[in-house]
Amino acid sequence: MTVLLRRPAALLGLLLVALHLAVAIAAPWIAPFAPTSLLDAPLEPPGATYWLGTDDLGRDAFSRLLWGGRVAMLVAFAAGAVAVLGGALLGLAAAYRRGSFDDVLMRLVEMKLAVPTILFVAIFVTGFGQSVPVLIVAVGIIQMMGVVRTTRAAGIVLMEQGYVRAAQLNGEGGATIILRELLPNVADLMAVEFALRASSALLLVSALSFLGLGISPPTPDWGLMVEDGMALLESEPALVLAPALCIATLVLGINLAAEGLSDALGLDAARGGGG
Amino acid sequence: MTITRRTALAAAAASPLLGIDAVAQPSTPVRGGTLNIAQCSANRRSASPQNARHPYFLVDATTRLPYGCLVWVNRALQLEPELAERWGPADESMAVWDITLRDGLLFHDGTPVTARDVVASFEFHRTRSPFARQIERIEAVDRLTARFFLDAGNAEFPFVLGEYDSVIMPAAPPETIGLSGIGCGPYRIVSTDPNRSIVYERFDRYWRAGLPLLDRITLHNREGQQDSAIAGLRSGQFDVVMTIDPTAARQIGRDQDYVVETGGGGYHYVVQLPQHPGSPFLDKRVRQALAYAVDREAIVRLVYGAQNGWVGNDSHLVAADPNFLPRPALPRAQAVARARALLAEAGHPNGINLGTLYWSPQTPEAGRYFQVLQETVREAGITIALDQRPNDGYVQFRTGDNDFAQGRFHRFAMTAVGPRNPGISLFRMRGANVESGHWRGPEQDRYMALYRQAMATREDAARRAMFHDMQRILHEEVPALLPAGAMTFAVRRRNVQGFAFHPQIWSVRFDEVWRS
Repeated sequence: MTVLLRRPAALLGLLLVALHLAVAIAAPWIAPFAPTSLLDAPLEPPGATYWLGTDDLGRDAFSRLLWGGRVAMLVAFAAGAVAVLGGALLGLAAAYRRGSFDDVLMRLVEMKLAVPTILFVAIFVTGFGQSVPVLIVAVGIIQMMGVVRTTRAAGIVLMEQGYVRAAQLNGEGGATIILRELLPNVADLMAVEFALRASSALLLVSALSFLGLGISPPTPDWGLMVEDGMALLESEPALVLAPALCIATLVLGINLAAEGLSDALGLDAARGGGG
Repeated sequence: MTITRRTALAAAAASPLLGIDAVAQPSTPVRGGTLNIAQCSANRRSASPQNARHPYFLVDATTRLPYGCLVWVNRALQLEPELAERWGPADESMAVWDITLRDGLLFHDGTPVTARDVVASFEFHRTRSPFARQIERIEAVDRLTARFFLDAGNAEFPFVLGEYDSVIMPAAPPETIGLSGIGCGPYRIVSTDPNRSIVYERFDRYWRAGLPLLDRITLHNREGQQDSAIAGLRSGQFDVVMTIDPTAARQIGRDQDYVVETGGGGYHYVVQLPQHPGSPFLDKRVRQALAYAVDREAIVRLVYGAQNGWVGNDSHLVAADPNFLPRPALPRAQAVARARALLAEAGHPNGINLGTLYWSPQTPEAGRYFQVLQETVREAGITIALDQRPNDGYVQFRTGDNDFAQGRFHRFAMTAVGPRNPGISLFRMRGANVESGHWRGPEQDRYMALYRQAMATREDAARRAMFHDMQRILHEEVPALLPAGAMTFAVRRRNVQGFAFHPQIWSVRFDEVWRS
């Protein structure tokens, strides 16, 4: 942690993430109005009562901005966790088993990577609706593929290590070796992967909301706010720019923190398998 | 607010607020050129997988491009001749109607349109269209005259003949009719990319001499993508964008390069309140509470801008219809108190959670509409969750089986409905229709008895009195919620001439459209 804090970029990243998290958690107490309340005339200009004005339904844009990161961050971090945990277990299992299990799993991963992300989510949403759990699973699966590849590569290297061989000779089962010998040794990698995947997931969730495939109205969400404001961009640019700035600073913060974490742990953050 | 027929029609002609011009009347129309149209509403039944391969369902948003109907409902929602030269009841019962075609009509393949084609087309329609199911049989009387035998008298039957699922196609067995995509409209289908786009070219032997004027029209589906469609208009990809919302109309109406057209009349959303076993809506007091709780004026004000919307009365009639009977209104505070009292009476003194209301982006403003509805009913202690569903497959998602024993129930969900004559609009609240939540009981029986009586009544004033009685039943029973509606808008480039938008999207005509 000390090493991380000595890096200015990483420190800035951590501060940005902490700030956004703090605002998201405190939103119910610090937002001047309820985010869905119809308060006044639509498109009131910014002023003392409504700092960013009102949106096209007369809701306080500033309150919605404060609330707007909560669901996106929940989906992004939960999807990141799903991706990293699921991806690590699958990747390490492939590294341990190799052979046909590995071949089949890798081909499935490649098939998934060949499906366009938006198309995949659209199919998911059509089948299961646009609820938050559905989005977490869909985005988690999308992000998982890269983690599978990365952890599999790391697992193959670890399988050659003496302590793994010793465990095998000792008669330990596959699950024990994966959970006790391999998983702890990829924890650093998983931490960096989590940050990268969460950042990517956040952008994806915002893009999906913008396209109408993500978080449903009336939930205050930055991606939705950008989408709602697009028709008013010329006359009310703040309604688009403010949530866009929030998305940008949060993603930037996560990326800077991930890069710092990667440097601090001596990992190459760019070695992920994509996805 | 309410809009009278007169104000609605006046607005259709010109709206200073939106910078709307009257339809340009060119001095010298020019033949030739192409037109690219984007359509933002989801009035396409090809979203159902059962209909996907059928050109007839692909194009119902632009019915009058490739096809023709026997009659046309004009922008004032009055009947005009189209393929039929004349029509009328064959006897006093009004259960038998004779329709006579114009002579000389041709299909795109050059074959003449005859009464045989009318019979074959309606043999198909009466199995698919709810409004055409009243047709018991059809006969060709002679080469140009077809006789329709209905299950009961219907003074407004000719309106059914102008519906989007009443087009005339070359005679073929019901299993294959229409699959060729051949009609007798002003443009013929060149190619289709299902659910994305469709290309038409001019039919030179169209029955209206000298028309149509354009060489080619391409229709692009942009449902749920209004911003993308308007960006396409600004970039030159599109010449016309149909079914934009009032907010977008106001924005783009300020730009000198574009002209906003209104279809007047309007459309609205029906919120179906399921009355299947276990549903909270089985209790009439819950339905009534919801009807009191929703702030209809707020929807009109916030979603449409006061000038462009109207308060609904929980029937399918639009406010511009002279038969429309406004729902008795209470001041907001009293309405909320009344809703709370009804809920308490129904055993929900602390409010009620009505579950999830499903919606799909059938028109651009649907999301905002239901957010306002959700927020305003909260004041009366009614909690509703919203869940957006895609347009594709939505019809199947929201409807269930008429037979509740099958266990596949319909859902608490919405759909958009267009303006029509009372005979069609009020028929939609029949018990066998999902839009009424499969409403049952003695009041439903009384409603349908009045309907049958009205349909068999020739005199307009007497029929109107019955329509009013039917609406009073709806105000009391609230089988479904129809809180508010709005006029329809389209935007065109200034050099697109002769284009007039229509409150019924399927009745928009492109015969006289040209490019200067």
